[in-house]
Amino acid sequence: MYQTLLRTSLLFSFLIIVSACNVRWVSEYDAQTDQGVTQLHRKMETFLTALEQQQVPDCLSTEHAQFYQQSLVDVRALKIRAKAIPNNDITLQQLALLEENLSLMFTLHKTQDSSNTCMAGGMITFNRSNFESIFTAILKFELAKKRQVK
Amino acid sequence: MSLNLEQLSQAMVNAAKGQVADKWPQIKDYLKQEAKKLAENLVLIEKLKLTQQISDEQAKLMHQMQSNATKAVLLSVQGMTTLMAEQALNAALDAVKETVNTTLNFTLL
Repeated sequence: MYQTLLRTSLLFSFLIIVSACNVRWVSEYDAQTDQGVTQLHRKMETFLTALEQQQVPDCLSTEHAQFYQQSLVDVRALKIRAKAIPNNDITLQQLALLEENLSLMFTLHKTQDSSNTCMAGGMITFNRSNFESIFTAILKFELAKKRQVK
Repeated sequence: MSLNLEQLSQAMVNAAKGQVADKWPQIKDYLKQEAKKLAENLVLIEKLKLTQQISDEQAKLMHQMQSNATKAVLLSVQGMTTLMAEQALNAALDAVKETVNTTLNFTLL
């Protein structure tokens, strides 16, 4: 008897606590983040495809500084937007990792210049796969925020 | 009419289970697929290093990039799992909403 009363009280306490509205632990889907990240992914793919076909000196990092700078500006703009959205910490952290990897890739590219050679095919394959994982991670989570119920 | 605790609990558990059963296999598949890709990249770095196509410094940079990509994937899994829990809880509440509100004769849920 006492146990049933206790269980009923607990259930109702729980219902009252969460009754104000639907629970929202994660931000809403943001179309601009989705589009921004998709555009950046396309830009990266275009860049890597071009790099695969280039010879010295066109393939050197000095020839592509603008791509890196512009991409970093794009990610930072996305981060500012993500920061303004409530409960969006995970996306913000992912964008910070994307930003860091863009800077690391630029450094990687610069180190290749010292030997006056183009990045090896394997390095380009690595970069493609690495960025694909990050872009997919951000997009997969952003799309999941649409909360489609079957 | 009074509320039946067992029926309410069961309805909530079933609704939550439905959400988990629907979403968890998708999250698991994604993680499996990405883990394979991340492992392949680690092997690739070692191969490039052994064949002297990259320097020590470059290998270090690539390892750092790989670590960041892994973190991004795990963050996605964490986020999707949180979303799944959120949806399971909301589905559980929705499942008993009508019964509770009708019985109490006011909108609690």
